Amino acid sequence: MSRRSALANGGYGRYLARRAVQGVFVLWAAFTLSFVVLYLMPSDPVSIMLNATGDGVGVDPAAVAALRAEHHLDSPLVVQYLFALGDAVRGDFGTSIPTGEPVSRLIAEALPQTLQLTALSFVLAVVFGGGLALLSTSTGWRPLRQALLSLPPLGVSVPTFWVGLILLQVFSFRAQLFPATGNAGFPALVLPAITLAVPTGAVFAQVLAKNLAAAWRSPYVETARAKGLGRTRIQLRHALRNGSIPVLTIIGITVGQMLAGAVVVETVFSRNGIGRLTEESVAAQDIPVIQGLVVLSALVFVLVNLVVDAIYPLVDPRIGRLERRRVARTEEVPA
Amino acid sequence: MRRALVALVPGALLLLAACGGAPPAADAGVPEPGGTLRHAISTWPTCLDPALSGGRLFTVPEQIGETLTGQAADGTIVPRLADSWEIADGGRTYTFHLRPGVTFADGTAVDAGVVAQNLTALVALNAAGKSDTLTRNALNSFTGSEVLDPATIRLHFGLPELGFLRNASDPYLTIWSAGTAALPADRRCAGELVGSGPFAIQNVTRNQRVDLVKRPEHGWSRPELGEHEGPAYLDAITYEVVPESGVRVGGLLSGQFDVIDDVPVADQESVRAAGGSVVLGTVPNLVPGIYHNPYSPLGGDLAVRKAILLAIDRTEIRDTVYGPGYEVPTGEVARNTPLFTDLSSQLRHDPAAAAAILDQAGWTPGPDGVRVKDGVRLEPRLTYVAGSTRGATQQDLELVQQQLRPVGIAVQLVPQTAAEASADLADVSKARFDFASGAGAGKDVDFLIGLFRSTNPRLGGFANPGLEAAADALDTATDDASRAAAAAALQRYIVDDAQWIPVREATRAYAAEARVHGYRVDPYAQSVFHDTWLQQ
Repeated sequence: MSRRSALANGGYGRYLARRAVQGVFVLWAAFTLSFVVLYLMPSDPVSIMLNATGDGVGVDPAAVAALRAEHHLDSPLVVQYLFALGDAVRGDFGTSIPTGEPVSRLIAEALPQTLQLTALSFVLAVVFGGGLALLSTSTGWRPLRQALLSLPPLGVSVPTFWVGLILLQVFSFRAQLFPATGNAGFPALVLPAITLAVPTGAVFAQVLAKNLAAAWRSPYVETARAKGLGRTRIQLRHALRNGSIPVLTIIGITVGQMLAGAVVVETVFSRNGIGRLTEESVAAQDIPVIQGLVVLSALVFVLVNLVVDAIYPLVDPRIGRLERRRVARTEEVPA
Repeated sequence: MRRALVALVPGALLLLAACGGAPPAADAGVPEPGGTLRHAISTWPTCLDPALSGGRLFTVPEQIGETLTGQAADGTIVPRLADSWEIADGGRTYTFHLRPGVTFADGTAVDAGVVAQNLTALVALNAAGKSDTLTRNALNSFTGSEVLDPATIRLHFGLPELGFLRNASDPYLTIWSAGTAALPADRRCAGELVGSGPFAIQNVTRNQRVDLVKRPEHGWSRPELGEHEGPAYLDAITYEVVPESGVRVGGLLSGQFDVIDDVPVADQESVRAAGGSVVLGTVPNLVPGIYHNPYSPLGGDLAVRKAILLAIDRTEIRDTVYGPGYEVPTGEVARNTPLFTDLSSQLRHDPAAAAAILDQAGWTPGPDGVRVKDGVRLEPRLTYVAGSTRGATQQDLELVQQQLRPVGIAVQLVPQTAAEASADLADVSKARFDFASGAGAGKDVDFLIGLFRSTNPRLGGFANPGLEAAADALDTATDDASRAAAAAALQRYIVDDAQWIPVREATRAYAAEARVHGYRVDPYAQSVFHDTWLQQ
């Protein structure tokens, strides 16, 4: 970004540019770290491919050597790393070792399924988590409030796996309202999305409820009350806006939680997405695919946090102002 | 691909126990054509082509492809794509006469030319290291083929290949269309397979589903394999990958699936209670068991190995971990493996004899019951891959651990990842295990040769002249009688030297809904749907 446009966009542009550079660094670090970790593991993907469960006893050394050479697993680590990094920068993560399919194709096939799943469960989490928090702080009846506030810890602590199986048992095997498996259409998306939304929504509800409660005890709410504003208006116009800043921060973290949750949810509901692909490629120690998935996850993290960072100043102008002040300070030096 | 109507062959060598009710194939009634069978499968193979690495024993090739020969339920070799054959030069030359009028799903004819193309393609895949070990072994000494006329092909081998007729019945030697034979390995793996079987692939969605449709023109089924004449009854088969066993069972019980595989023992009763049937098939192989590290002092001690062999109560393992329909191992290989030798007396449960062997070898019980010799406690490390069901499983081994303790052997169970296990196998002389759990894929006993020669990484070049000689004798046998004798001798040597300690039989469990009829599994414990029909 040129100095002129940076100035034109003011501190906000500079603020975003700085975040973007940090994001690129995160991507590189994720790639490098995963590369090192994967290569430090015992054995190699070729032996595992030829002996899928590790307890077969008929692996042919000649076949291992041929495949190792084909995938350059026999060159020095640094050479392998530089080649892999060079290709990765161009978006080429190579081919899966067991199937020979391009990593980009495997990911492109799986990604839409996971995007649908996480998008719907994110919406469900925000609506129900946020709704629960608003309801619990709006209600004046103490027993109801206590009951509502006890739900988020429950939602966080029950295993996703178990929630999925219960939903299947009730809504698919007994009531036959939704299909138990597959990727086909919206009905197949409902139960997995609910399962994935439970822990995420619970965290949203927990954090938002706590912050709303704090906001209600703050002086500006006193002021608003003194001005004669109604309870609902204070809740939505004042308390919610201030109480949602920490939730925004949580969203960045939640994306990672959702990707991890997708591994379990996609397995339970037999959906073919990023989670299943992750589970399989880890089992097969399929290094090119795992690398592609690590970089993809890092990319998602970076993008989501970039969006969150971009939203902060809009919700709370103080954040942008702080940044602008810092930018102004650094620009004073050359001047 | 070997069809076998088990219900019509009572007492067949292959014991497919359909427990808790009549076998599904025994249903009376006129088959009703039509309908789509929905099959939930637990895993997606890394490769759909059975000839290539990771593709062995997947159910789809069974339904869409055919082999030159077939294997009947009793293990005999019967004609399939080949009507007849001659063997000459002591097993170095095979001439196959192909059945006329057979076509692939793309309409092209199954002729000698396409068989030759298939073999050439496999040789190239072998050379590139893309194929399964068994494919490589089968064509090890293959030197080439000649097309004598469109219906006759002659194969030449450099060595006597007495097991080739059986190899030719195995799914990895499925004859595919010329188009498929010309494809590179990754496209064959992805399921671009056109065969001559009763069904054809309509759609493959990787890791998710396969749709098969009936070929109405298929009229060359073999009654020798127990098949009905004419095309399949089902219009279509849908395979769906459902990794979670509870979801497969729940889906079957709620009518969302008709057939499921890998049914946990704990769920089999509820399937039967709901009117469904459970079909068990024994997988031909080197049975799941325990092998030793020849470089470890404890594993290398013959007395210790023999004591473990005798102290394991295999019937108790079957009854505790599995169920009444499962088999107890009676040899080193599964009993439906060709040239199987019954070694049940050597595999008896005899803790007293085990204790006597250890006493004699100088292992004396210490104060806590664990035996000691020269200050070394008898605490062998036994590694296994956590969660794998291929070798002896964790549950099996925990029971083994209990069974060995009264004899004075305190086994330490060490769970590993698949990566750690294959790293151990890469150099056993440095690996820190005394014993490990495993199993060996197999068809004919020929596979024992490769598994027990010192060139196998598992044995790490450790010299064992007796074992080597027994393996060589089987490898160089030039006629069927000497081959059978050598196979029996090798199996006896393996048990006498406790080179492999059997724990259980490998069994695949399937379940079918009540409306599924004529469903059976073949001698490789794979589903066969040619005769299956659905009650409407």
